[in-house]
Amino acid sequence: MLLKSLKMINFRQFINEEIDFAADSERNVTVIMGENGAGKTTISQAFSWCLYGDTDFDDKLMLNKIVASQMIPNEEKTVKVQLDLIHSGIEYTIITEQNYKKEFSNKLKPNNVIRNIAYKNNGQQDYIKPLEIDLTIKQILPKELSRYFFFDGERIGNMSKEIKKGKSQTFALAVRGLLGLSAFISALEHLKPTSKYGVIGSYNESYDSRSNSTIATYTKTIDECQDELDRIEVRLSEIDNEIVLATDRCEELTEKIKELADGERLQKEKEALQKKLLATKASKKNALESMLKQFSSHAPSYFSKSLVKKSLEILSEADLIGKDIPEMHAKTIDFLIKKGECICGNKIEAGNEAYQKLVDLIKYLPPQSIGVIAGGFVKEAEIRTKASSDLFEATSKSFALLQEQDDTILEFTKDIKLIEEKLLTFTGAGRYQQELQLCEKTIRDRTSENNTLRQKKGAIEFKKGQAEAERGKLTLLDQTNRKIEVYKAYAQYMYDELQSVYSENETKIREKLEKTINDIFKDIYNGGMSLSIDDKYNIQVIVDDFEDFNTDVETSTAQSISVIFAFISGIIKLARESREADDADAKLLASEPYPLVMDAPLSAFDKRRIKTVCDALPKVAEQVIIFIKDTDGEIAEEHMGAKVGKRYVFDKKNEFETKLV
Amino acid sequence: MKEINGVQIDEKKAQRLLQKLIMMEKKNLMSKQFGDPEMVKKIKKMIEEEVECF
Repeated sequence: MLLKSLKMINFRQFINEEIDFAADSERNVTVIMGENGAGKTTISQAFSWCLYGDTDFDDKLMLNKIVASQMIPNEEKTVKVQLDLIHSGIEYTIITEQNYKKEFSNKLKPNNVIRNIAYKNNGQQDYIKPLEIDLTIKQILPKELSRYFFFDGERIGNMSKEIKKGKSQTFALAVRGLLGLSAFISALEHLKPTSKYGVIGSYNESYDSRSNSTIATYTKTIDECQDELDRIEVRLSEIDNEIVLATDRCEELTEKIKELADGERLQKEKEALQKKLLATKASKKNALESMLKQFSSHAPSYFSKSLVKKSLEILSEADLIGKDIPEMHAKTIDFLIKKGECICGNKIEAGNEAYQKLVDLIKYLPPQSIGVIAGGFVKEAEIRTKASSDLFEATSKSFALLQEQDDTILEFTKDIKLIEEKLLTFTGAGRYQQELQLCEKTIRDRTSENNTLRQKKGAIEFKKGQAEAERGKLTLLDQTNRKIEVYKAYAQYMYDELQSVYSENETKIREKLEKTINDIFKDIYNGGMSLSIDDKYNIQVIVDDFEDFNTDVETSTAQSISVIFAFISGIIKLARESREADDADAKLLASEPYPLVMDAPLSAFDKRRIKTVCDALPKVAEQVIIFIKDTDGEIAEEHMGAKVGKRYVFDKKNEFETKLV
Repeated sequence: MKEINGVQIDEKKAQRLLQKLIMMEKKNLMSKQFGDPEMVKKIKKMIEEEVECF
């Protein structure tokens, strides 16, 4: 398939644009440059929409937004993408259209996507029948392979995973087709002995039983056996699928249940944390109480220290100490004054010197007794000052401890919350367990059914073989039937031979493809790795220097993109070599040329690899169409300039309209 | 000579048939001129003509 042109009408931001692609052998590169959001991906998706009626866009409305906004109720507009291409020497025009109608509610109603394929046959234009459109597209480029030829550099991660594992048999079949094995596949399908409609099957149906009615009986037995074998084959294939699905589901469920075991562990962890949290909270409460108790008992003394100090200074200045008489009470003085005579015999009369001295002495004796009170105060002050001297340090320590406990509580609370969030995802363990048991039962049942069916199949094949042998003996006796038997024998010989040649060629081609892919891969990515291809065309990346480490390795973006480039280029190169081969056998395997349509392919590469890729691709592929950012444009021009046959630049008018200039 | 179901196979003829068959399939894959039932008929005709021919 080589692309000639692409016409887009009302397709997303392209209202009416057409691109002619370079298909010249000397200048086979078409470069389409544009800033981000201008429509590079839209054009690459236009191929997908035209060929398969679908795109990777989340918004499935393809109608241009400006056109849509200008539509009046009941008005209809059409989105159309037309792709002109050449495949197997035939010119095809694939037209994909979709009508949109504006409803009175102002909503757009899209109709079904309609595809039509016109082709030129001996100069005459003809149309592919509607029922054969899908088949024709499949023959031109199977959807399974399209993403490798219509290549999106920004979605490389997924492609890399797909290319390495999980591809269907359809993919392997499609690759075999590209590698030129389609003729073998078709021939085997047409000869197929197990189909009534194949060559061998139809010979079986055409025996003349008029000469011997036993022939008809054997044919009936063989047909019945074949019908039963067909049913068994269908069932065996269903069983295989069911076992694969159930096994996959078992793996998923086991993983989930394993996660749930993690959930149990988390639950225990949560409970332990909750216990620790409670203990820390209790400890904090005690510490707080103790701190407050200490504070409330010593804080007054501590904070009155400066006042006490001042009081003591005043007391020391007042010289109160020593002025009282120990054990003497004011009442003693009152008694002496009343008596009018001192214990020393002096007369005490109001106003005399003795009287005056005694009255002065009362101030210093109990109950007033300032000296005693002052002495008591000094003593008390000393005790209190001593007791509250470490209040600051003790309170600081207690406060630090409280802060520490607060931090611990916060940490535990956070951890518990995180665990609780995680635990939310660990629900339904019982349901998973039940489903797992069901899946395991399905696997056991299907495996048992598979074994039974295979035994039955063996018995039926034996019965069929016997009937065929018996019928063969009879048919050889009759001239007409003998002829049929001879033709059938030749057809059977051809089928057996073809199967052996196909298998041999397929293995050879796969080995050659592996070598070609490795040569290209090592050219692009020089990093001590190589690629291996299995019989389903899955690719594994192997590290060369570690012989024992032969399992697939996780690859970086640059490695992944190199693997895909190498894979696609390898297929294209082999196909091209077979077309250019001299010997007839190789020519028999010749397949189509294919273009490489690449959206943002260089963004994941460094400059050295961009150069390698730009040099390699136009040489390997017969047509290269490359969508590129402005910034990568110069590098591409620098390395592919001589090969560029057509060049377009996006002129972005606004968010909803881009023109190509 | 190889024998299949009691029939002696002329391997030269059979190989010629195989070459023709692959060419026929290849051609039809390119032209898409014939559907599967038509191809089966054509293959049968080709076998019958080749086997009858000495």
